Amino acid sequence: MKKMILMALYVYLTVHFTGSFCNTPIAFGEDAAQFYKGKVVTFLVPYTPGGGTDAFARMMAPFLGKYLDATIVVQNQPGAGGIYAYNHLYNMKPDGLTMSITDSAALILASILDEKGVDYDFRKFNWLGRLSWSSRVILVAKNSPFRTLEDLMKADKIKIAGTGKTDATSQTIQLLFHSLNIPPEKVTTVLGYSGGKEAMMSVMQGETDMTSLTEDTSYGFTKGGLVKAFLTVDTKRSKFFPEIPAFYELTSPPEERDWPLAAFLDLQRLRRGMITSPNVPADRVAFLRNALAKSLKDQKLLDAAAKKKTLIDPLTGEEMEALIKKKVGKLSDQQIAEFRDISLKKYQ
Amino acid sequence: MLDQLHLVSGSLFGLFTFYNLVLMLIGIAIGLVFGIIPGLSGLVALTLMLPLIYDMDPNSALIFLLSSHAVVTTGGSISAILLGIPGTEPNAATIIDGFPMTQQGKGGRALGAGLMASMLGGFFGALVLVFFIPILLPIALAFKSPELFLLIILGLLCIVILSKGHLLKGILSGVLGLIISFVGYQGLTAMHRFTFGSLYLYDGIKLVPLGLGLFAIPVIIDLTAKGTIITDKSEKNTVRQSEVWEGVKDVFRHFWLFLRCSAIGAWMGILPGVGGTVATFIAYGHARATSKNRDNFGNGEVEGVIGPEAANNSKEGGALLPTLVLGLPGSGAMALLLGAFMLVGLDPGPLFLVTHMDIALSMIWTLVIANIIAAGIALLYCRQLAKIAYLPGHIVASFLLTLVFFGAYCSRAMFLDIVMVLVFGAIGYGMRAFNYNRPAVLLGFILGRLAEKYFFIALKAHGSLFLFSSPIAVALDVLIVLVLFSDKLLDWIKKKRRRYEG
Amino acid sequence: MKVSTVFDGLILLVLISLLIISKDYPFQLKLLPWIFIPLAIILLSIQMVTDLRNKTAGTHLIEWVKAAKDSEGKYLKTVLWILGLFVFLFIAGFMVAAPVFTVLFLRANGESWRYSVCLSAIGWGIFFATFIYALNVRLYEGKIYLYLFS
Repeated sequence: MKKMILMALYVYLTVHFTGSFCNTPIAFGEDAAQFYKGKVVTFLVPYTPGGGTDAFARMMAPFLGKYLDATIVVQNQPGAGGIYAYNHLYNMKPDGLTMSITDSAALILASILDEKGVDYDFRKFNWLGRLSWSSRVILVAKNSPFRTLEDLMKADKIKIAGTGKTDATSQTIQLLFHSLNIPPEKVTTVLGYSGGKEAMMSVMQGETDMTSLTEDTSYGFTKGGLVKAFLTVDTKRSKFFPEIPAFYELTSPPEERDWPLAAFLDLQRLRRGMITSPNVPADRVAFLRNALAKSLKDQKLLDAAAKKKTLIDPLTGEEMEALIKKKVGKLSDQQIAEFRDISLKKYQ
Repeated sequence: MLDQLHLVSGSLFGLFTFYNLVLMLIGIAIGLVFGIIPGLSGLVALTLMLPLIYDMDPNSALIFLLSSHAVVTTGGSISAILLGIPGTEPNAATIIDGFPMTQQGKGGRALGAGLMASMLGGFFGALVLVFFIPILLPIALAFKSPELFLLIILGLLCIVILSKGHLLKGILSGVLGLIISFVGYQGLTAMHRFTFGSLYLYDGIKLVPLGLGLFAIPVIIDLTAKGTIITDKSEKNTVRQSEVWEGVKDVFRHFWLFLRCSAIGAWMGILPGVGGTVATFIAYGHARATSKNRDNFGNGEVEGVIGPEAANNSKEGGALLPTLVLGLPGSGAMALLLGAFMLVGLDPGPLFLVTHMDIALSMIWTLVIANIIAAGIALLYCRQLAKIAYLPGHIVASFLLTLVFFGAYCSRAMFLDIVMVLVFGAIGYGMRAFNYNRPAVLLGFILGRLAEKYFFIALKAHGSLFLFSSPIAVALDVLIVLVLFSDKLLDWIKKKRRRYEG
Repeated sequence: MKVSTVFDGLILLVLISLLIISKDYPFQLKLLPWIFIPLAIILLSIQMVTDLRNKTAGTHLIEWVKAAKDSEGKYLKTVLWILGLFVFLFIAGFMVAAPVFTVLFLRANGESWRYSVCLSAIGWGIFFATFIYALNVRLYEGKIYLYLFS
């Protein structure tokens, strides 16, 4: 009897370990398409399930799988605002079987602003492409006294609602104020809200005066009459808010004041992207980039996205890399220090 | 009026397609199982169910998700009462009196009361959902950070109420919980606190490993080493159906208490940002404060089971309100639900009720029916369930231990979470041995960061006089003072009445 | 020395070290910890003093060790089993460790081989069927697997 059980155990263990041979990466140098065929590719989402990024990832995963001819498994790996997943991806074996969706702006900003725990160099990631991006819209209460830029300049006290010191909800407005040369004494930033929606709620309640959310999120709340859009922080108007002016329409601040906001907005344009580990063989990177670009043009995906009012605005991986080098790479150390100063200290 | 009736009944019949009913039953099963297994929460259940809703139509998808979500705490009450381990976070308060009842052999009665309170509480929550829709907006506008801060303080005060026996140890436990919650990154200063450079501690100590360690590990040790958790060996090893019915009748015996605690739950559910577990502790505190057997609480008073269980089911109805009406999730599970809305192409937000009233109604019906079915099933099998408490300890422990480790790993896929369970397991064992108040630790932990968050927001946005910034804030101040001196006050009233009568 | 004092003392040490670690934190980071940690220290100290004064209640450390050894070392054995599962999980992963552990554990506690294996197989069978195949949960694979295959 004991022998039978031992045999069963032995067989079970063998099968278990052997069965997993199906996933062994084959040697390098093989044709990339052949490499991915039939494999299981992990698609990391650095946030908890249910959020916008997660929904987007799950929406596009099957299409990516179609063009890669592989099975995509979406995996959430939340923690440290995304840093956890990025570190993991950066340090793992570069076989190209794992990729991650990113908030590229947050990823880059985290290392520029010198966040503790960042274990990656954003330049070394293999950028696969941009999925979408959105402008930020400043939201104010329905009966807010702020209607024009002059109102901002004349105000005695402005309260901004934000989630954290390094979060775009408040940072966008702070950088904008810096461009307008609004003195810090007039501004209070109230931090701690758990997410853009809570920040918006505080604006609605009158606890604070303004906050900034992405255009698609803002649209839902303004349509429902909870808050009002003040202006779009960008050069062009938002598709969601054609009647609301864009910041750069109303004014052209001098370059020496405006470069932090401009740099920040450049980063925001990279916002939703995809990366894979550094040092993945070039042919696989090219194949992934290709598959991604094709899946983002797939009509079915575009239809599904349109139904959910999700934006898709692709850039290829090569274009992304070039943009990063051009815009962010050229910031001097002193500029980075100044940027850090404005974001973290000035308007608190 | 007529076409509103039409809409209401239409949505009810829409619910009863075969497909939807099957989905509901599966959802209920998943919810109950995830509720019972400690460490697996409703949130995890929803996460796992998300990929399955892709090809469903919006109505069915929401029925599926919501039916699971509505009954998780019902399942959780079972492990809270029978094993002294909270199946899910909002069941923590149920342990305080539920588990001692099991230890005294009255587990069947506790289950009967808890399950019935859950069922009716869920129903109450659904009613609140329906009737409060028009007045939600003014409520949401009125409760800003100072008011929320004060509500949290009220919740923290419940620690004092919880620990009437050993006041010092109780408050100390609560404070320790608060301190544990401070570990981690603070967005306010963009700095790390007590993380020792570890990325693992960046997001702080998480509830699941903490709760599992504090509550589950000591129980497992007992089950193995002592062989059982029952302390009162005089009762025979069976649970009679009549006992369970006693428990059910208890809910009706204390019906006003049940109503008040359901109201507390629904109310706290409505306020996004405070969290539902606080509601259960406040409900417990209230049950104790208004009970004739006040001093026996903690030793197995059925009111201590009815209160929290009513609250933790009614809060779901409340929590759906801001989620549906404003598009603002009141809890993690609600955020996920909103995500699900987006996945199926719905637009949660202020216009949802206008454009999709039928779906909203079917969600309300789901809440009601799922609660009834779940509690009904559980009540039918109550005797068998209660027998788990009488099983030989090592059999239960053999599965439970692995399930605990599984639950700990599941929420974040980090192996260190299992280590954390061991660490808090050791601490929890000691705490139990030396009369610390573990539910108080949990309460302090849940509320610590939250209190700090609203404190700093209120301070920055309203200035140092934020405690008096609105009539509601002042009313809450008064309420807090009253609660602090409630014991002395009630005694004083009793004395006066005696003197008046005598 | 009472056992409770040892336990309380350890907590006291941790609290004091937290206080020392946070002394250079900026104001907002420090405020609430510096309200509650001293409060806890004060309460704990009062507790410990009361405990020490109370000569009658509470077990002495030596007696406690003796009692632990006396009850057939059951408590010690349980703790060892728990740690053992932990190590086993770490090395072999969940799918192997769960059933095997259950079998061994039941066996060690007096059940027959047949009962242990059957119960374990049925229980974990149902579990794996629902959680792995139906719901697609990711389980920890164990260091062996990761070492060999990643």
